[in-house]
Amino acid sequence: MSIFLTSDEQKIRVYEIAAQMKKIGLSIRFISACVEQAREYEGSYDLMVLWSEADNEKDRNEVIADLQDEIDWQADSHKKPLKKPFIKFDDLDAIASDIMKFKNALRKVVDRHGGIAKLAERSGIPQPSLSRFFNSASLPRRATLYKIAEAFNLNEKEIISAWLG
Amino acid sequence: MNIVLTEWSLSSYLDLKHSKVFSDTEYKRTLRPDIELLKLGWPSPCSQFSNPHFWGPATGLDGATIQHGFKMKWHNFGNGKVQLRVAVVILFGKAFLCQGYVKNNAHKDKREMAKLKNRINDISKGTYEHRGFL
Repeated sequence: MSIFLTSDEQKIRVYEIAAQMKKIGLSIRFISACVEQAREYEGSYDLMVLWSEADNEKDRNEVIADLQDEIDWQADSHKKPLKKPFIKFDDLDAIASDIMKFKNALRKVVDRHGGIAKLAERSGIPQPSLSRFFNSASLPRRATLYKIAEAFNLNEKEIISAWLG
Repeated sequence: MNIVLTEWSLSSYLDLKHSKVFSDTEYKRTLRPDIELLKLGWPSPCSQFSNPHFWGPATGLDGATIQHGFKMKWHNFGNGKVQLRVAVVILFGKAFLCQGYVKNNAHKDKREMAKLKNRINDISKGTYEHRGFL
């Protein structure tokens, strides 16, 4: 049971916005994933509309990062609720700190392979999304880590095993 | 009513904590007790839920109410005096805590409401990640 499904009229708008995205040079892989998701999920359609109507670069970049987040959430989604371990509030600081250490270490690896611009080019993940990924303490998604690993042929065991439990 | 902690809530709270949006004391004295009011059931018997500065329906781009979606609000909260919001989905007799965020402009709020529609779809389909109960 999905509640917020994209209407036929909205789907046409999705394609129009996808053409605008292509015009400004966003990667085909990213645009294609946006279209795929926004054809079904009205929330992602709304994000595409917000991107299209944003009147400044900062807002547009934020929406791009949101869309990539949504794409990666969906890529990791399960067929039924997935129960993960409960985390006590008092442990959040330590976990946030571990996440930042992990991301900083990963960032160094990325820099050794040519940096964020090269990662964006190879992975298809837009730069605003990568910037958010490396600067926020939010939990890294499996799909994002795989894309980064794939882009530079990184060793899976070293790079992502800690986050795949 | 059970309050479900979703992966979206955990991920966003980690980032809010890392950004020092609120202190442990503010969480324990204000945020958690306010959210725990949802345990009393829905529709809520608490008068706070009639106050639009505390609680309100989520709304989409066209201003229409987003079915099952709500926002809990704190104003001038924490040292940074921010507008803190937590998106809540009430469905299947449970309250699902979704993303927490700082509303620093109208565009941010619209983006979060767009994402909330996706959260509602995922919760309704059962394709969400569950971190236990508050």
